[in-house]
Amino acid sequence: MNQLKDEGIIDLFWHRDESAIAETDAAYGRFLFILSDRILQNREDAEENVSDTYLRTWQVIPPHRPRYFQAFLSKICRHLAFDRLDWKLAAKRNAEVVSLSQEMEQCIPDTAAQRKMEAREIGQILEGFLGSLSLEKRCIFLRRYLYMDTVSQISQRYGMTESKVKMQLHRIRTQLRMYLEKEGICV
Amino acid sequence: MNGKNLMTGLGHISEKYFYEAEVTSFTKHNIGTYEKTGNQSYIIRRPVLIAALMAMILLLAGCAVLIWSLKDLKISDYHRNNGSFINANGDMITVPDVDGNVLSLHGLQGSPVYLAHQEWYAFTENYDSDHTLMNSYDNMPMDIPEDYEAYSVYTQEMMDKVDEIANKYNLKLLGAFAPFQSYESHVFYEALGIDSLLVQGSNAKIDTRASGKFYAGGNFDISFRMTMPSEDGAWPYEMLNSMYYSKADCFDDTYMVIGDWSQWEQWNYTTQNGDELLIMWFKDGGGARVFCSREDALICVSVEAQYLTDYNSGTSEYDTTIYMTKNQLKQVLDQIDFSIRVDHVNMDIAREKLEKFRHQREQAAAKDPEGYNAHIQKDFQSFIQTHLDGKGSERYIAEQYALWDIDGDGTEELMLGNNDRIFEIVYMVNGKAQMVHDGADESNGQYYAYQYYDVCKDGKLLSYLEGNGFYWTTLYTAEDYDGRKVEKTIDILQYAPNGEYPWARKGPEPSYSEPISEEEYNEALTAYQSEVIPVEMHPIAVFFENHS
Repeated sequence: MNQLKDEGIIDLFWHRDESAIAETDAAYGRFLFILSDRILQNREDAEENVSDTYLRTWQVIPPHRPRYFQAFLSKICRHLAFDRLDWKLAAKRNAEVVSLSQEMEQCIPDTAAQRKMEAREIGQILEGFLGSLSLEKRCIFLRRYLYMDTVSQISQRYGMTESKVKMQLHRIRTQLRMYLEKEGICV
Repeated sequence: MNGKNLMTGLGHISEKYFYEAEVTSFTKHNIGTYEKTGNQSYIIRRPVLIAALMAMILLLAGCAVLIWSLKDLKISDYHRNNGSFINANGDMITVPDVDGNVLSLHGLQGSPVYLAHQEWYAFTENYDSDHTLMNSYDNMPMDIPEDYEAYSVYTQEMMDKVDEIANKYNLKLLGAFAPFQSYESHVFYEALGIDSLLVQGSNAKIDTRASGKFYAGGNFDISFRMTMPSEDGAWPYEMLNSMYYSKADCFDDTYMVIGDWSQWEQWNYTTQNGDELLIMWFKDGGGARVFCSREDALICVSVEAQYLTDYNSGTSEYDTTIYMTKNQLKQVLDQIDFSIRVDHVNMDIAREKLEKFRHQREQAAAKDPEGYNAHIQKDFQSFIQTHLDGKGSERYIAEQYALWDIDGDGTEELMLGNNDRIFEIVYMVNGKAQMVHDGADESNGQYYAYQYYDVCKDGKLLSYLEGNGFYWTTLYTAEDYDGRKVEKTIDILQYAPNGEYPWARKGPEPSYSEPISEEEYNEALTAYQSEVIPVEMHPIAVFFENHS
């Protein structure tokens, strides 16, 4: 990502210049499509999701001026994709997102399983958990469950062996379970 | 809450973590050392809920009168209604409600910092209780000014309340903060003007790999590994301790919850250095919290007062726990400097130091163009020499080696291991030695081998890994990728004796799982094992003699 370029694109949004969308698409369209497609497993839905991401970005800038533009887009894109996601259909398609949610299921202790919590509240708890991890573990965890990279992609990205990535993920999930056990009592 | 909720909720973490996951990359200069080469990432602090849920007992008759007690830190009652649920067997399970006491970690009852915390805690407990405001900011992340990030605020009203309370009690805000990783701890010491967390002349040791964060206001928290000098009766195991330092003129909202005031013992202790402490000791052993209340600050130290050993993979628990005695705890406390004092931190200079150090590390990484991967070294001799030299000593645990052409390309690969078992394999790639299969890992500063490899025909490797309640036999190979070699999974056979499906075949991705019969499992395992080629290992010490 190019900070100067991002600032320029944000300025376009800020000044309500419609070329902001085209510039965003040129810079991050493919990235956002891949992220959407990993969640939705459908090309048409993914393309629509990318468009919705641009629309939402147009709506919120201004007044907001994101510090990290790509991260800002990723967050919106992911959120919209999950809103759109039909879990039953995803299960039929054997979508990776279903497998990942099953992996995450292992992290939920019994005491928390029946608690109803808002997504934002869960996000705050996870934020606390992420802060307790080392940088390496945090990145591995987020590449897997936030960006839905495969183990192979993570190992190549960080120059680690697949076996190390798998073991790290397993341990982090165990740590998360322990963390949620504690948080589930005190939140 | 279910897995889908977690996946969705993950999208609500701060953008800084999205950014960090995007830009961070790692290089390995030395075996086992990872360094960050991406841009700096920031961690947004949320109120640290040190939820020990411990119980404390006040010593009654026969005990010395405490100078002050933990009840002097209490700012509120605590209650959580956990409700009930129906489990998989159809039984109604009632989760007990939790009642406890909220303790401030900043000052004793009546002090300005205590009163400020009490008021803020009461405000947050009643503010936006149905999360309407919190949810209305969905998809519209609000840029919180840096000075307020520490208080987990998300509305202007909350920020105004922080200001109101701080002004009312004439306190400074915590201000901007800087987290530091274990390899940056020297910046923490320099920025805060602290020589050491230990008293002068102490023979105890604190590992340089300490991590935590500090604030412009001078408050800090740090986790550090500490070992006692080898003396008769001293605690012989490494401890993972922590310290929270809170200034009396700084508005901070970190708190701890204690349940029932029982099962805990508290007493006063004056260290050899003259620091007066209040010790909170868990009656059943294993944990100690120590408080030092001064006019200018309150320090809370958490001591790891137990050592877990004999890990049982079947039960996922430790079979043996060794507990610290009270005398051993006192010996530990005698080594810690509770008179540490921090004046205002110049955060700009501190961040500049962190940036400079990180930049230096990036520059060093950039000098090694192949440096993304494990200690790319010119040849096998360099690997072996590094082991013999024992640099970064705890990482170099292999004592044996072997040379074998695994992939049949005419060049031998170097294998490292112990007890005639291989856990590291190095290939020559484009004229340089590169570690491709790495079965060693680090935990609490100790390196150990967790995965072993057998060499098989046709460039394959069979590995064995024991996890929590499962065993994986994995078939690997190495393939070319972007000018280097990477490990590639071909197949995984899983045996989980206590699982719903004891035998399974898993694809290259762990999320794929296909139950198979015990017969199919054994058949596949036998087929793979029949391809194993025995490789003779030799002591590393004779490598140069054998290959001069």
